[in-house]
Amino acid sequence: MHPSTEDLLSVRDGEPLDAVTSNVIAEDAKLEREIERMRQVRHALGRLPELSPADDMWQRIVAVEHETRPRSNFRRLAAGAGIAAAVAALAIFIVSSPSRPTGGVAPHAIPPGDRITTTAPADSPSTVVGGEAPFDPDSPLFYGRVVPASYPELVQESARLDRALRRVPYQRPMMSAETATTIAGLEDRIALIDEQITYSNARGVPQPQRVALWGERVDLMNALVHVRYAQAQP
Amino acid sequence: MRNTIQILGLTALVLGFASTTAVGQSDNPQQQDQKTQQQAQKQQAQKEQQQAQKQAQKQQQEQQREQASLQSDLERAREELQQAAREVARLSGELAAPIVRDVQHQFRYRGQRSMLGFVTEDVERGVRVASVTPNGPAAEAGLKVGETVTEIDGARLTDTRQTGVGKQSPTELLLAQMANVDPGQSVKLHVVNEAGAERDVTVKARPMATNVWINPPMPAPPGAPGSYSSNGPGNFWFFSPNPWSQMQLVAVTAGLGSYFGTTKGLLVLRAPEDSTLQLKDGDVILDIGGREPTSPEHAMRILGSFQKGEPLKITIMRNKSKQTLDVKLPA
Repeated sequence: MHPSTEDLLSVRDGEPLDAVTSNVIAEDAKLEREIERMRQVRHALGRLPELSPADDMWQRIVAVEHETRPRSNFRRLAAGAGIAAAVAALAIFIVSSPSRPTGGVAPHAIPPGDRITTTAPADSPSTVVGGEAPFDPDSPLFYGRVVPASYPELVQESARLDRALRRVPYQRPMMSAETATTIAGLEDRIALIDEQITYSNARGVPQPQRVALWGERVDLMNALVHVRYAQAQP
Repeated sequence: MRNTIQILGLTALVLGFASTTAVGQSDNPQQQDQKTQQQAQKQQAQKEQQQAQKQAQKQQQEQQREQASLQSDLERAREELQQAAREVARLSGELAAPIVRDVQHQFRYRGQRSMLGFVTEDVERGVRVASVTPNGPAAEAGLKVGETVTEIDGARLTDTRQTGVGKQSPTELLLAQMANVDPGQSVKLHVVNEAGAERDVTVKARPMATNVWINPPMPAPPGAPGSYSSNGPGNFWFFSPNPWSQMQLVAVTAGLGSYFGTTKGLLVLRAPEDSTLQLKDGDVILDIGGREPTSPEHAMRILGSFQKGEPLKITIMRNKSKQTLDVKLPA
């Protein structure tokens, strides 16, 4: 296994980490150096002086936000292609969604760096294809096809999307009301479904209904990850 | 005679000089050629330089046009993606609606008022965190998927069904504790991670999502088909055109704060074309209906909690001076 950046940050911040990952990091001098570098960066950032805004700050804020960031056209195209692909993936989902609770085929974005594993045979309806691309925060979304039809697969997929959301590389501080509404709406719906799932656990709701709730959580999380990644593009 | 000699001498001198000059010029044709060539080269260089400048300007304009076009495409793709995401939410909600309504009904019966923002899975020692609600209280407190909550405010969540001591699952024990917790109240969770390391986490409970999002503003007529996901405040802007969609917001930072005369709030980078909210570029939104927005999402969540046509007050900083806007949401 290869520890993630999040794992390294956990070590840097003194947060608990599972034994396997801790051992891997402890035995790898390169990773130890990386953690030390992270500590130094944090220390250096902490020493930065507080800056007072210039008189023309307001004009500059507007100008900067409306200007194109210094990225090559290729990368911009790649970002656009990623979003376009995300739209296509969600559009396909919309077409196929009525069959989802009974195990239909639904494409899901697989953000970089996440590895999906399954013990299902390759030709089973729950086969997971793709999703093993190396992490590159600038690369467009990587797509695989996931058909989580069973309870454990949905739970696993949900956890993977939770991790993917935490790894969105950059959040632009500026946001349109349209995007903010979409994100808030998706998050609130996920909160509602989470309450329903927890309660259904306590009440012993039948498995098919719990599967349907988890299925909706996965759908909503998938949509949220798409929107968050698109919003992170410059 | 003397004058004549002088004139002749002067004339000779002038002619001699002219002759000398003429001889000098005609004596060095190579230099003349060189000068001519240099002049021609200089003119050529100037011409090329002008052409290069024109070319560079043209390229720059093309690049700017291309970038503007790409930016426009990117924005359009973002909008399409958001529309698709909302459509996913709508369809997915329709599919799960009957189940959600059923569970929701029982939920209300139990009198839960607040939530911690994570999904539980029963294990022997307590509840395992199966997922964490994005931007929820547990996420803010740093709770992670895979960790196990063994105690809440000192009460153990050990499964008592197997031992016969009690008949409650860990999730039921957790919910029983949460029935006594009000929104805004903090609870202390004792957490064990997958490696066995233990820690305490303080989580500030929030109102149930069911209460803030789903409850219909008006009682639905009996037997009304409806969907849980299309009822209730907030959904107006989620599923229908948002009158403020073009508004751009950014959270005020410490640095920006001294410039705008406040250390908190949301800066309006671009005011909405719709004048309902009466906002202008450069305003800082301090509170909406008495609630302080901490992010653009939070602002839209607050606005979404009001009904169409409902009046509300928005407190802003404009030109470093606090003002209150009386706003009526579009019907």
